[in-house]
Amino acid sequence: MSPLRTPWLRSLPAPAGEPGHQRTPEEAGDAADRDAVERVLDGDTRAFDPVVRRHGSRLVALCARVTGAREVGEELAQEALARAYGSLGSYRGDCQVRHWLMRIALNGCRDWLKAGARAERPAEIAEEALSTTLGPDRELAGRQALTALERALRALPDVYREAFVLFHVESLSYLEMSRVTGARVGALKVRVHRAREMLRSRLGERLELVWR
Amino acid sequence: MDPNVDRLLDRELSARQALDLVASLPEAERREALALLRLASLAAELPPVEPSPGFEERVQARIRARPAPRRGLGTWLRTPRLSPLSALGAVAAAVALVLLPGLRERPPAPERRVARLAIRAPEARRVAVAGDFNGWSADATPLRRGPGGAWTVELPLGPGRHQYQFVVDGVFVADPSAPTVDDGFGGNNAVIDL
Repeated sequence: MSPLRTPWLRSLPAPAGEPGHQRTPEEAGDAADRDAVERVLDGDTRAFDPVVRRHGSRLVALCARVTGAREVGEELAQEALARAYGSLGSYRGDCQVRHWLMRIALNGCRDWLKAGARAERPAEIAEEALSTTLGPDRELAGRQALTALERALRALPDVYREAFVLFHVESLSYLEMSRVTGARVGALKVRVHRAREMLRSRLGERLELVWR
Repeated sequence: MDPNVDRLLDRELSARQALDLVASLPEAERREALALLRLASLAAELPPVEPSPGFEERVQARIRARPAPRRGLGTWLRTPRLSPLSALGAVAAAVALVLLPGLRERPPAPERRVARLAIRAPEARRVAVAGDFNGWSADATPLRRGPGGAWTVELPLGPGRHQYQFVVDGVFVADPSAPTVDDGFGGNNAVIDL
């Protein structure tokens, strides 16, 4: 890496700051993403391809769950990646590239939801995704619980669904969620708490049955 | 419900603390806590939603249809690039400044004005300001805590419009007392005109 590259490339989140500390896969991925951003801005237009490969499917999953529609999720993820590429010059480097992509993707999801497009949404993700990704030996109760959870998620108000997906499905921390959504940590905790309450209420005994 | 159950679900407890908490709960609360834990566990187990075949190619086609991205002003300012030609140019400019009295006598000192920024955050432990004037660094420009939970800073800046956000305990927050502009990514930056 050239020593003349942007300062934030050199000031990546220190890998724990201890000698011998190995970068986590996420840290290594982010370093590769940042390097790709620099190379694109230096004129290597193909350098963004690995970023698409690394994050494409996760963005599809995020958009599909936030909108509740698989095909829409795929369309929104494609558009988010293309928009991100066009906006690379304004990436400030103050958060992981992955989180920056998520932010752009979520904005697209919100616009889509605001436009009321959900009324005409195409195939939903639940059964379709589960039937292709769960093995045949998956216990029936677990399969039913996952399907029920996907359905219950779609029934949540948008703001609670988004918060729940980011925290419990995408495993972001509240601080990371704040950077991605622009909302305060306190507000996000409340949203996740309420989402859990609503899902608990909706799923009822399913959660207890599966636990036994 | 014991408020620590929320801390448990929010991943704020150690494994040991979690075990102690669950063991200490009355039966009904324990059942409820376990159901909520099961909910969190199920959410983490939700299967990936794989893109349909050709997804990457479709993204790449959209990307190729767009103009190549260019460095924003902020990126250029953060990136000191010296090609041999620009280095020669810099030397030539320096020589010209020394040799040409007319150029040397021109007052080059840029005008500086003082921006006073303030935010009330009584609960905050650390407040900083990130903006186009410090490369959007979240920790380069801290504010000083004053009485009543008011945090302030005075910044010497050049004339013109500047965009910024406060960073309150690591969270970016738009200045509630300043006009804002869309930052292009769904958030808002505060603006100050000097």
